[in-house]
Amino acid sequence: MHLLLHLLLKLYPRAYRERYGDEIAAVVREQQECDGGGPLFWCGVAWDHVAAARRVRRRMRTRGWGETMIEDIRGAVRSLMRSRRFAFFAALTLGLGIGATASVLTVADRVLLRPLPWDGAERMVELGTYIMGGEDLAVLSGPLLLDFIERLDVAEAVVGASRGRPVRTDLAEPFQLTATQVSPGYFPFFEGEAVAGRLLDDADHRAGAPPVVVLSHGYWTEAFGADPAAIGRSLELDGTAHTIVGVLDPAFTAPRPTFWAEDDLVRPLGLYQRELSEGSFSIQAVARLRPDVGPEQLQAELEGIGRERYVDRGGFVTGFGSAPFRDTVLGPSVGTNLGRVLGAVALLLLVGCVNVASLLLTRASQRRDEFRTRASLGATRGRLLSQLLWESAALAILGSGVGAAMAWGGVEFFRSHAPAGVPRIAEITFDPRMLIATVVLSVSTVLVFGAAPAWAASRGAGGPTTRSTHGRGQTRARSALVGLETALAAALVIWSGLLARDLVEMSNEDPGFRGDGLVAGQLDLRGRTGGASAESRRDFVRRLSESAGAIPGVQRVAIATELPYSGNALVSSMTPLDAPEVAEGTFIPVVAVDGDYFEAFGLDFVQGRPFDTERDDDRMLAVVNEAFVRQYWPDLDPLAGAIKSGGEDVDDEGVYEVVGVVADVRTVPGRPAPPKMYADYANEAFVRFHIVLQTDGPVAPVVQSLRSAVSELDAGLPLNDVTTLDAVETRALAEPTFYASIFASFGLVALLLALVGIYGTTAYATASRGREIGIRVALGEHRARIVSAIVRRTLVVVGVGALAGGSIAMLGSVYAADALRLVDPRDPLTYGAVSLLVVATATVAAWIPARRLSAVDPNTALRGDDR
Amino acid sequence: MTRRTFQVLLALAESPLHGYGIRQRVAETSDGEVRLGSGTLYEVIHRLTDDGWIEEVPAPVDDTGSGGPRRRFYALTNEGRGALRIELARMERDVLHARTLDLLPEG
Repeated sequence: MHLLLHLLLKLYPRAYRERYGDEIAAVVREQQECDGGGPLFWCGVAWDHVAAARRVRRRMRTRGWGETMIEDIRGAVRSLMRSRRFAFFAALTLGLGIGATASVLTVADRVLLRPLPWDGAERMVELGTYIMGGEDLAVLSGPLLLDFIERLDVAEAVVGASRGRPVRTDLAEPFQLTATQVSPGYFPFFEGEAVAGRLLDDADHRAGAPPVVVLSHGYWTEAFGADPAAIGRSLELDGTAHTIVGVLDPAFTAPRPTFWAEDDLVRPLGLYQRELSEGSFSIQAVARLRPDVGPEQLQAELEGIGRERYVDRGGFVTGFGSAPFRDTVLGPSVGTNLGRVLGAVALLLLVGCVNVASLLLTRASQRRDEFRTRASLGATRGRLLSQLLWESAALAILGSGVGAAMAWGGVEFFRSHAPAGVPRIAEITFDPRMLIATVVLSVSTVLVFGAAPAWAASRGAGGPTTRSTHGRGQTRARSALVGLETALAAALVIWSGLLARDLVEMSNEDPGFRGDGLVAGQLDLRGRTGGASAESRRDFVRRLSESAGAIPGVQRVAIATELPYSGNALVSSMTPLDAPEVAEGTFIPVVAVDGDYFEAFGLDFVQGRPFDTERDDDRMLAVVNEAFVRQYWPDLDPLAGAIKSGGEDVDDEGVYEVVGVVADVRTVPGRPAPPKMYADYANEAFVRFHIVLQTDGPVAPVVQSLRSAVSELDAGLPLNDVTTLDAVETRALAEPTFYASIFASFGLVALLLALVGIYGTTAYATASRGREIGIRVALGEHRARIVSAIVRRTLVVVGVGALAGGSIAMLGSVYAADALRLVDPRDPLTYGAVSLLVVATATVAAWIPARRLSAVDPNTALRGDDR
Repeated sequence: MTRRTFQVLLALAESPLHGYGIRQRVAETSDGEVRLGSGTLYEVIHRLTDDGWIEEVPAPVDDTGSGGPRRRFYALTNEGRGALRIELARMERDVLHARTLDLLPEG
């Protein structure tokens, strides 16, 4: 039979088809023989059968399943269109929940959950040393890495990397680059590929091999215009010509601190090419263990190999150890912070689900009459259920659309706003699987809470009455949902409030220094003539300070080895003498300063004085901060104190006289300042330092003049990391700002959802009392009283919810306490303000529908049914 | 009664016919004005059968079909004949009335 006819016959009910199908086919055949079977003929046949089938179906009152489905879908869409407000809120709620969850899950999955993307990543461990009895895993020296590479039998492979700052010397102006310096086997280990040329091979690492570099894709583009002819050319680094052998795939990802994606070059670490110092520790090492190697076995081998080189020969390295590479990559704070975000988003999704549930429950009881009527008119429960399912599906599709857009936007937001230090954030792309997972969850919510109650409501079908009776149980269920929703939302808003308040406190707090008008740049005298000796460095600094001071607009010039808010760059082993209970050789942050450091940063002296700028004696002087005095010399006069360099048993390292006590400066926003010692650059002429200028005018020309001042002194010396101190402050607050803004948006969404839920429920609850209210208005009761009665009832539920939310927040704050730096996790102000906010929101949400209803003409309310 | 229904009843008033036969006779008697598509044809047959105006009858012995499945033959029932008469009477009344209005030439 002709396929078209076969399909056309499907339009008819089955019984009809069985009865007349063959005859129809026969007639068509005869017609075809008579008229010829052109396309026009078949169009006519199709047209005729479509029309006939409709009439037949109408007459037989049965439908093919396809048509039933289309009818149900149409009915579902019509029903949603009738209650557009419900559809809008439900889809928005679902979308917000889906979007927020899917985006955070995507990020968390990439950053936290998914194993690192390399083969055998679960067997990768970081290798390190313990220095002077410390407990943190520290880096390796070159010779130790070589020992591990050659002799660590439990590992399939060991690789290491360090970071270098070579200066490109074949340009008109010297330019400092950054380079990741890697050991042999590094690229196979992390599965790197070249996009042009080749990567490093074993020959490049051998002794006497010609120097080569691999360009990053970024530097290749920036310096060579992504010209493939750059391969094979040479560039001069620190005066030595290096051949460019290839360009690294921009998608290559090895994690910090074994790779820096922003680095310009990759080059051999030079393990076999130069004499490596046992005393220079700068290499990060990773091993991929053989399967079934236990931690004890690894530890034993590390100790065995390491002790041969170090412990027998001196006391600096006191141990060897390892840590799962995953921990290194993630870092502790990112894990906990993302964990918290994940917890918050789970709460948010819960609020969303509860909200949808309460909206659907409300709607289901509103439609009880509709279902009873339809059931008594002969609709089967199957048909009713089918339409409900389609309604849910339509809602889910709408919600998923909103959710997908939000999820995509959320991931983009994460990628562009995440603070530095969230590992692998650049790799994150929107993951549709997460969306699917969340959509499934949300659709199940819709089904369970939407279709199930309606289904139950339809059970009374065909009963003697079609008048709705709203059970106490339903009312209670709705109140419980609203209460739950309020509680969860309140908890979220409280947490976001705490974080926001913490952030505000942090940015308002006095960091202990004044950054206005300060601009800083870093200089590195290593390998320069000016950096050859302490004397030459002091001389360089003096001459630079002089010419910088002469720049128009510059008021003060200071030198410092560390800027505030940049963490502790440098710690030295020091022993405050006469201090009670201080371990010898305690590590204390030391900042070497020169010029008008204290004045430029606005540090007040509590006692004593700054260093003299011009002095001829070679006394070793120190200024300490208040935290130092509090910790080491609580009962002593600090100006009579002295600090011995190194441990107590080390002789002749020198003793610093304390000449002043200065106010504390924070190294991290919101965290208490650690004890700190300022040394005079005259005594501690470090090779790397920042030059800081204070200016009251525009920054750019001052920086320009500073650059020329530097190149006048040393034509090959680059000025790096130029930044204003305001920018340093902003950067320091980036991470708390990021997490606070995430929580704030979650809190806002949760509050919005709760508002929608309360509004919907109150609207329904008041609508169902329309007749009663009509009577009361007709009897002369004041509208305001009716409104306030309705609002009061909602407020009881919301009040209980807010209280519960406060308790949840209080319990949760135990886990969140260390996310807060300045604000008490039980800050009464935040709890009070949020409770007020929630109650105020709820009042508005309940007041609007209550007012609208009480404004209805009583006659209308009485005449209509109770809706 | 629609024109289609009327024509089918009229066609069957002469003798029992199978589906295609009905179609052809309707085309003849209406001078090709009423052309029943296969779908419409059986929709009408189904409806008339359902209402009891026509019924399936055994095929006459001289039906030498085209070798396919045996074709079903339909015939007017008494009810169908009655319904056709009522319709024809109505039509006649209408035509007479139209004549009194000089809408039609005297036949």
